Amino acid sequence: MNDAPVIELRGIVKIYTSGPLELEVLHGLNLTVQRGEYVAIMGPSGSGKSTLMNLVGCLDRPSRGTYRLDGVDVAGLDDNALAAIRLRKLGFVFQGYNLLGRADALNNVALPLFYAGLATKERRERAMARLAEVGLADRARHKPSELSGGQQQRVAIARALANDPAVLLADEPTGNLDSATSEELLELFSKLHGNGRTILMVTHDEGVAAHARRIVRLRDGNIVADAQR
Amino acid sequence: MSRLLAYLDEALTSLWRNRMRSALTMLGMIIGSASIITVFGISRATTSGIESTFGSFGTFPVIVEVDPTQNYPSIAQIHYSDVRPVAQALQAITPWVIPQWNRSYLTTYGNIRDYPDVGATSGFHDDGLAMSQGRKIDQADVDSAAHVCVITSDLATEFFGNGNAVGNYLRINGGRYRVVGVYANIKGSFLNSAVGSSTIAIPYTTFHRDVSSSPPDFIFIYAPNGMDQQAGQIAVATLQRLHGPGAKYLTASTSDFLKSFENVLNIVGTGLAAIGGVALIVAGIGIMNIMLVSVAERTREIGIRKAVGASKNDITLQFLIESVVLTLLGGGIGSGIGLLVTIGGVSLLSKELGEVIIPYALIIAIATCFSFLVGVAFDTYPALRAARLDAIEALRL
Repeated sequence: MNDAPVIELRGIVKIYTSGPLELEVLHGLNLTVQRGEYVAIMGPSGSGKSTLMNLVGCLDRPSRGTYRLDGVDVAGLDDNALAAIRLRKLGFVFQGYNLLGRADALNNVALPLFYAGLATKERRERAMARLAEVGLADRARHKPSELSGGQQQRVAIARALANDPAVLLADEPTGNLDSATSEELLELFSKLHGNGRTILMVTHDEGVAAHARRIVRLRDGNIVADAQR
Repeated sequence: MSRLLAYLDEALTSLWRNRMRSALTMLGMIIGSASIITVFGISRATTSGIESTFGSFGTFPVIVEVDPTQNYPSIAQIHYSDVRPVAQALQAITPWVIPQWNRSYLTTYGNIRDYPDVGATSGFHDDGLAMSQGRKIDQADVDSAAHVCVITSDLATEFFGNGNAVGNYLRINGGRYRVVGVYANIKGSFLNSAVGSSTIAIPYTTFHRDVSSSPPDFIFIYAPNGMDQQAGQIAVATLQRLHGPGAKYLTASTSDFLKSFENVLNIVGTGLAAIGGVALIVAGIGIMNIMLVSVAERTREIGIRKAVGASKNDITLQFLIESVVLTLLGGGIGSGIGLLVTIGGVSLLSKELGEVIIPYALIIAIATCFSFLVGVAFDTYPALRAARLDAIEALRL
């Protein structure tokens, strides 16, 4: 079980239909990610990397092909089952942080724990521990508007890790940050990778991708390069 | 259960975060439920007040009188001597069959003069009337045709001031009558003025012998509950046996009248409550509108929640619980206001109606049910809409 790949995409095709128009964005894509890997997915805009990210993140379903996530075939699951997969096995980090503006850092981190059905006290303790892991224990009661961009993204990472997911998905996590803060954040990713986390990161920045151990390059819906470093 | 509590906790937190909008959303609910509770409470309280007023007025008789529309009413004329055969025919049902006259006579005490209604009362039936002084007319008074009378408290005040009326003598149509009792005031001024509060009751035997030998205007029959109709039929049959089958009589049962009066009050109350219901529906539509706005405004939040793992059911339930919390809170506050208005209105009304009962438990139960139903009924659509939102689209905004 542990030797099985965390992500196994086989012949993934994604077609968007808009009225009579059909647009094929991914053309039979194959990708395997092993446990503990730190992968950067690169490509120009329109290359299909966001589509790939949505599929891997179970926010969308492939038109064709199979997708096994942590041993589970998720291609045929219904909405509620996909939600459960997102809850238990995936953690999202977005470019725009996507924190709940009216909730403080602690409650933002506790959100997935709520859907996982944890009791209030347990939620607080777990969320606090995650915040400590990203170095923000002293900011637990601050709202996103009272935190810097880097701090907000750390809160988002803590939230992504709340339910101890199999994969951490990051979509341009440093896109809104200055270079110094980006460096700090990438160090955090490296640290998480060092702790054994599997990380899949979408970026168009070579400097950011350079922190990953494997770079997958997409162009026009095909993988054109896949290199270990 | 603990899951439901967690949702409730989450809903309360979320409502508190948006407290300004929550308060505004509740406003429609507060107004709606306040109006429905006020209308319902006051109409129920009024009904109970009128019932208790009637109750304090004593037992109601079946009244038998000559039908004035027949060709020869004089054939049907009720004679004093008819009373005994009618009473005998009704023996199995009630012992209380009493002739009545509808007359006013000059009544004096010293220099004080008035023309009160002088009614003949056997006085020994259970008329349910309370006494403020002395006793009622009893069987011995009737048997001996005694010169005694019982007067209403208004008359007692008129003739004797605030002092003791019992033991004094009134001169009624020339005869001397000892006051043996004073009726307590009927509860609520509404019926006092309607029925007349200056009445003198004397034994009917005395009335017939010493006041007027004219035939009685009515026969009053005090029958047990539910026997009114039967007693009236027997009385009419007996009178027709005495006067011939062509003689026509009218019977009126006051308890029938009371029942139809209650029906009218119930219809009015229901109608008013229906209007309040419309107010509640308007409040519900307001809530639906605001919840739809809320869903649109929180599209991003819903997207985030879905991305971190909330299922459709989670989102639906969250919005439903939020709106039910809102409607229950709004309904509760509105009912509180409605109750206060009801209590205020009733305290004004009670001067007219006497004892008034506010059905608190019923009001609270109705308010809770309605609030809950409004919350569920009008938020199902916005909640489902929120649940159907596409997470990718929602996050792209």
